[in-house]
Amino acid sequence: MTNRISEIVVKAGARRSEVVCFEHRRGDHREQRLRIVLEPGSELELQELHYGRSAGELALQIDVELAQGARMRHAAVLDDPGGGRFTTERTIRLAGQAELEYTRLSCGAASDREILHANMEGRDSRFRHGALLLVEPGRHAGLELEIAHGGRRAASESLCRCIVSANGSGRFAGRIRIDPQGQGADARLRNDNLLLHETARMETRPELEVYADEVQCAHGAATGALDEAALFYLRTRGLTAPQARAMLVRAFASRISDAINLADAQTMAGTILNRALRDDGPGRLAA
Amino acid sequence: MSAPLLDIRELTVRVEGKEILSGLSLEVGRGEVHAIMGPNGAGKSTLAQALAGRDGYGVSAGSMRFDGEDLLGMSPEERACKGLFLGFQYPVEIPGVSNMYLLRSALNAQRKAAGQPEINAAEFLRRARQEASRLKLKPELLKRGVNEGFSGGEKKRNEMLQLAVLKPRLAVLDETDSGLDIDALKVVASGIRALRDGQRAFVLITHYERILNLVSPDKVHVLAGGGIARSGGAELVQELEAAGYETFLREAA
Repeated sequence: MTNRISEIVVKAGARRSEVVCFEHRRGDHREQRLRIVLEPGSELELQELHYGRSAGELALQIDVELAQGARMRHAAVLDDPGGGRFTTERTIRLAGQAELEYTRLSCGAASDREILHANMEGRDSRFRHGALLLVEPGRHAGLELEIAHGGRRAASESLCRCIVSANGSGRFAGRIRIDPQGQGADARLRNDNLLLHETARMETRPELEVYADEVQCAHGAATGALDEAALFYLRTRGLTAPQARAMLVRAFASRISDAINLADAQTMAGTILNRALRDDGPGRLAA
Repeated sequence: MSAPLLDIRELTVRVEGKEILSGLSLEVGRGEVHAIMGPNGAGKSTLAQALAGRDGYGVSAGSMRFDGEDLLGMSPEERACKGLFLGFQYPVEIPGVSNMYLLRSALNAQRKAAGQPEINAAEFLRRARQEASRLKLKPELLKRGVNEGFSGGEKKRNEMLQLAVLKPRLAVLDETDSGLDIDALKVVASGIRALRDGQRAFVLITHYERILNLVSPDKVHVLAGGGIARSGGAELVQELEAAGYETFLREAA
């Protein structure tokens, strides 16, 4: 087992752009820790890229702290066709008026589990979160999420979409908690899932816990197969059944994948989607 | 005399175990416009869906030939690529697939099937925008998801846009005129008239006289009791307006 600790600190008022790469090698078995600190008024664009072929295990701890008025855009992409097992524990702390946009796409792992705790302890902080889990045949991906609103008028929006192939499984357990100090919170939590085969499985549990009076909250989940009426509509326009399916799956993914708009992460996400959703033969998400 | 473009003979269609069409026969020649009218539940939309090849609309007897080829062995996309277009009564919304992307993908799929190269992007844009303008479809709707958030009238115009760009040999329009205001109806009718070239044929499924006044069909059919109960010219529309479907339902019973 190897252990590594890395740190990114953005000084007050500074602006930085960083790419952090994790190359997974066959048989890896390691723990890594990454600490990211944004001092007051600083800005960071971070691309977190995981790639390679691994049959091993990776436990990753990522701690993100945004001080007063700091802003961060964070795109994470994980692609491991070798089928490694990943557990990511991510903690986020947002001080007053801090803003974080965090989007993650994962594909390929035999098991990919992210445990995300976001603590919006500052006033008027903003957190926008998107997760796209592409679950290949026989594999598993899951997100356990808790967003705690402790500061006044904090706003969070979280959308997780899972696309699950044959014999694959997905799990979403998401909770928004509005603490008594979190008056004026605006919180939205949503989980949508697309099952590509009758043997695909999804477990979803969106929850709200509200201990304040003046809040706006919404949560919901939906799970289903591709819309047969839409498939037929596309085919009557001349698209083959595989083309029509790929177009609809890509459309479902696009709500999240379009938000990955930092250069390298965007390219990697595009490559993953192209491989996963080929319309001229079996892609990685085929049944 | 050449064979009809569409030749349906003794067609029987079952949906969820229930026989909806029972021995329906219909011939549509090149360049002709046919109107199919009939009471609710008569099977007009079933005929349209069966023609387009929808799963669950099982043909248990009879034949459908398009330009001499058997439609029954063809997938929906093969029918589309042969030049058969279905304008939906309720066009589906597909968020995340832009209107222009679908239109271009559909056109290229059909061109590929015909052994033609993909359309030049600039030429496609020019053509799509020109047709959208002719159909008074707002330019911003071209960028939006397919029918996403469109009004009923905008969805029908969008069907007409697809028709105008894809230029099929036979268009089956399933109640494309329903729910349209007068102005939108005129736009749809002029879209149909603009595509009449002596070769392209239309089957208009409708409940209303007003679109037929604007399009002037060559033949009008009444679908009742699972088959064509009566066929005639435009005068049949007047008869229906005056007497309703009661007579035809009694005759078909």
